[in-house]
Amino acid sequence: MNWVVFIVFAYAALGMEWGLRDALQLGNLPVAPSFVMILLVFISLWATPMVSIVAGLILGAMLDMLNQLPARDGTDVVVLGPHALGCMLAAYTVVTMRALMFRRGVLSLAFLSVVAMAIAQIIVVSLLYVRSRYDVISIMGSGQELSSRLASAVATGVVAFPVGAALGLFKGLFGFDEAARKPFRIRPRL
Amino acid sequence: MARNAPNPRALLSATILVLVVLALAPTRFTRWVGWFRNPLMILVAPLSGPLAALSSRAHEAVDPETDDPRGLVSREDLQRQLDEANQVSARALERVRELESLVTEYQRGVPPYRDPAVRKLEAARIGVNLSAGTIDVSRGSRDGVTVGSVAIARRSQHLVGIVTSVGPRVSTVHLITDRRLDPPLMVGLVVSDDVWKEQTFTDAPRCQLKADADGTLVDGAVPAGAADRMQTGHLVVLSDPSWPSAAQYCILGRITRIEPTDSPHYRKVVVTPQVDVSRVRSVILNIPEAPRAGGAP
Repeated sequence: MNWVVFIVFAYAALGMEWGLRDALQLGNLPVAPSFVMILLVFISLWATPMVSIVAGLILGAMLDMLNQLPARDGTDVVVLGPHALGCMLAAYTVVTMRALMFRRGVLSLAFLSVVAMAIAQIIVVSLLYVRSRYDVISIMGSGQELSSRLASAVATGVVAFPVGAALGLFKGLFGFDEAARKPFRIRPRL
Repeated sequence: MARNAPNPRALLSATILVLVVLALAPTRFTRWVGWFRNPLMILVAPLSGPLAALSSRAHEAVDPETDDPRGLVSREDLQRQLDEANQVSARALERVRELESLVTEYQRGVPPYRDPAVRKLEAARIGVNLSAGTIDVSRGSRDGVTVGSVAIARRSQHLVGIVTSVGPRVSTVHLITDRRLDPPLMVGLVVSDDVWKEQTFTDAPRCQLKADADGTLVDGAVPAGAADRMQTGHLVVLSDPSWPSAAQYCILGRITRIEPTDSPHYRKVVVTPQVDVSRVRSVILNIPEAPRAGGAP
């Protein structure tokens, strides 16, 4: 994969994630799609497994940096790890599922965006909940936090249709490895 | 002799281990991680800022606050001007009270306490963190912003939140509508839309508001006597000594519901902010000036 192109798209996705998310927010609820997750799923559909996981690590670490949490002492805390681990697992999930999907279809990308986002958010909420039991970080009730984040996963799937179609136009720029593009094939019995 | 290349799987396992440790380690050991956010925000802000402004404009188009196209002043604008004038009047009355007590203190020979002066600074919103209930604004420590500065909506006297962390160029504002806000309770005075006088504040009923999950502020135990003097549509302004002086008399919202509770002695009062605090285009930061050396304590 061309890492320069990855950095440009990651920058654009992070900017949209931070600046445009509230435009697609559902009422006053903390439910909104994630542009970064759509990019990660797109990459994981086409790149080699190791590249996908490294992309997940980078994008997740960036999300950890952006999403600082309020602490009980009235300050804000950056927690590095939950999104990074969640995105790595999400990337790995897409890599294992992509052989069963029609990769060129936007529907596949939308479906995998919901799955990947849900997996990443379960990891995020689990780690933050455990840490909030003994640390100063403050999260909403774990049930409420998880439900709003899972609703965000559905919203991500909806937005993945137009964004995925747009990303598809730039697929050539990413220079994905040939090895990762081998179609799923049933080996004939000898 | 050629060196062996590191095994990618071993590297991956080590990375996962480090991330798990960082994710679960207490904040006092991982506070340094926050330093990396500042350079990232410096990079992201030039892109997210215009997008956030675009988002706010789109929201305003759906919920128009613009002036009358015929050149007439809109009702909302007049209301805003009245709110602003009322707030100036409330502050002036507060100042008169302070000066009166100052004279008394001087007569007694006690050195009086003086609130520090406040500097105002406009800051554009560059992002929102929905799960943390915060917004990021485009001013930081290089502009003199400090933790505890008060953010007020640009086009009204509406309180937006309080600055909880400051980077070199970006600050984070914790919104009044988030339940994790510290202090969690806000004492509000319920006043009408009329011109405020000194008597307005001495007679005004009070409520202790706490953020609710739906973005409103709620007091679930207002004494029935006080609640009887409140009406839906009444304005609620902050009057809470635990908040900085710059936040006093800022608008918290309007009463939208007064409901009975299980106890006949209490009512539930719901206040809805007049401004969508997470979608404001920009805020005015009220930054307390550091007291000068040799001045009053």
